[in-house]
Amino acid sequence: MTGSDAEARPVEAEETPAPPPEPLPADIAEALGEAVLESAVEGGTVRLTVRPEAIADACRFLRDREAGAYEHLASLLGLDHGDALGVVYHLYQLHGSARVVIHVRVPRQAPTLRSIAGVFLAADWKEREAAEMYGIVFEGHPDPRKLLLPDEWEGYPLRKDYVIPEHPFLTPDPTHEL
Amino acid sequence: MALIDLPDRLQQRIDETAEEAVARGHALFVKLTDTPARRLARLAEKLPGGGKVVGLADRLFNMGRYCSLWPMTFGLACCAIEMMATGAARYDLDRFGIMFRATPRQADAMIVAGTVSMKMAPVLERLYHQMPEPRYVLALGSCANSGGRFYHDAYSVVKGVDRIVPVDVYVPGCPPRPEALIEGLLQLQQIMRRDSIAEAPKVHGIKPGDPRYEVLKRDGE
Amino acid sequence: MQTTGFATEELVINMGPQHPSTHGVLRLVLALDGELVLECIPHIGYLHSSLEKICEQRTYVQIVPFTDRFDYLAALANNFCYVRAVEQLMGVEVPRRCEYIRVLMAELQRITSHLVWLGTFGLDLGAITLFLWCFREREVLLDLFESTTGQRLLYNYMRIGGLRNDLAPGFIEKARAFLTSLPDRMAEYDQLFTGNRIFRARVEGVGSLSREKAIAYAVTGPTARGSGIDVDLRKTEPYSVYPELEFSVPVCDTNDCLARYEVRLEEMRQSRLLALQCLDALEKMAGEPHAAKVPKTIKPPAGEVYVRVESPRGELGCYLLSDGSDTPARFHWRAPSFANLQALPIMARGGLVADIVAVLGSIDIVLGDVDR
Repeated sequence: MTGSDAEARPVEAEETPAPPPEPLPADIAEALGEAVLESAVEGGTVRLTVRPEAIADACRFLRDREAGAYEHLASLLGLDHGDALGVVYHLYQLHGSARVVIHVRVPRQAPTLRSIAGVFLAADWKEREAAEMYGIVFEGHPDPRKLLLPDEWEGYPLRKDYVIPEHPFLTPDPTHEL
Repeated sequence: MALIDLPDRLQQRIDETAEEAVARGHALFVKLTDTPARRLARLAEKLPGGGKVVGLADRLFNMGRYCSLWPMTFGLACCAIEMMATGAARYDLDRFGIMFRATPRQADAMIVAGTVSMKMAPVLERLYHQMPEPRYVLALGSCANSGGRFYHDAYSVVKGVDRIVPVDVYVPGCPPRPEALIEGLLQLQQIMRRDSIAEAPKVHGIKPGDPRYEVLKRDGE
Repeated sequence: MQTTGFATEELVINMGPQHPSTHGVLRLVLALDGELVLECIPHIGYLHSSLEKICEQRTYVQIVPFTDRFDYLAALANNFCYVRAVEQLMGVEVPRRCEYIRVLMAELQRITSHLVWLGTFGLDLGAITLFLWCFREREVLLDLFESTTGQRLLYNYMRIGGLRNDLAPGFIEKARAFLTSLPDRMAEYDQLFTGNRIFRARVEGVGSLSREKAIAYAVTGPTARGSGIDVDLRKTEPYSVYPELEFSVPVCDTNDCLARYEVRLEEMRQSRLLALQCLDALEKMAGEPHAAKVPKTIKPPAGEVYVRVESPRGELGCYLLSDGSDTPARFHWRAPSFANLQALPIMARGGLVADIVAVLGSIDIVLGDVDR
């Protein structure tokens, strides 16, 4: 497709009715139940918004699911939504492109959720990184030390309101005109 | 040795006193040791005909140093790959006598190739102090020169390795071509040629009065 | 471990961050019983360059050269992943010639990256000749890249919607000449290295990573394929023009360093075949456009996307969250080396200190990816 932004968005909104939303696979809906706040299914992608306290059980179910196990934790990242913090999980099946994208929102003042390091060993380092960058607390994490930042670093760099500290190594040279 | 007239804004930085620099938070403390051999050379210079002998000794020692410059492998990021390529088959560095040593104890020069992060800064300083004198630093690439692409908006990158150690040669590029690194090393050889065993030891990257570094001397010198 | 009556103590030593064999600034804290490794704890972050934060304050077009420098040995693969992510967000389709050039560049980059891996693997294990030979081959490829992109290592070649410029004249002939000579060179490497008794003793049976652990640690790429996981994104989730190209994916299930070595060597041969197919196809497409028309200011509609490609190190993913403006609200780089390195302790435990170097070499990490 070439052209401007206007053409990049799907054109069929006026012409044909949008396809009916696909339902959540029955076993997922049954196992996760109340933990799912929002869901959307599009092709092979299942998008879920899950409660923070239920994330570990949800991931365990998806990992061991009989009808197609999402065994591969491709990505775990923190987000700053502005009013809240969030974590996004991408779980893939080993072969093919079927995946589950899980969003979790936690309040800024008390950003706590269950760790999934017991479910996916890969989550260990990924959660440590999200924790040090956003200040999110993963309950039950076996080793919640800083990973990329020096141990004595203060502040959460990837938050939108982060201010780079004054330090003779970091501050751009004041005698340089930009 | 000021080879060019510095513009005012840079002169301000250099005219800043040592106290202001320490108040700013950092000065590298460099301790230079005057050895008995150097004192002997200075004495010999004063004797009749001594100047020629010391001059010959200088040329011999300097040639020994710059003809077999052994840098310490300090490859941090992408520039390290170009440094490896410079040492490899096409742009052979061995023909200059340059052999990479992993340990600082046996190294003449430190080629800082790559981005220096805040976590790495104390390690870099420690390794610099572990190198025996005379030692030189070559900053390879824009990240080591000035912070490079991380000059703006980076919370964890040191804006140039010369905030930590005194630098003798800056090689620009991102990454610099192997030919540029070779040019930088040849420039470093020219700097090494100007050393003399009869002088009090000095660090080339530090101009007298440079407030970024405080040079400590032993008592009585 | 011994029963001679000596009192022995566990020794904790530090390896790195400045070390000739850690492939960059990686620090390993090792707990040893003599030469036996009891525990190996990696400490990373010595190259952390706050790239994700920087990229959130740059426009989508300005991010492209930053992506080069994550995995600096496979810069074009990084470019590929990022521009695909933005193109998916915007719904842009690129012309076929552009797709073929992208795949050609990605495969030539795979060969370059594996040559560096092979050279440094040999260097770590003491075979300096192999290092010199691999870099000699690599220089020819870097000349090719330089003729088209202008750079030897960090190309900034792909653009959102296409490429910066078309292939340089004479590129196809020179590339074909190199690829024709490559099997002889690889036969030389095999003769020197693969059957070498010392090499075999150092990598056979060393650093085993079971299939279950590899899946649990989200290990991908040749490291996973050396543990029997037959996943290659070019086959299992094909993108670009890979469905039209014929190649096979090597998988080995002996789980040790030798398995990963064999997998990567075979990948080089398969990349050669892929590149030759791309060259044949490109010759027939001369004169077609190499980029689609995209707006001058890239402002993708609000939404999120996660796109992954098969880089020489494994699954490389780019997550973008767009809020409709010209800078991303969130930019995350799923680095293959980050996940693969996490599995190092279980591969190193129980082996000897010297084996750590072999294992680290066989995982093939790039610290720019690990630390970002």
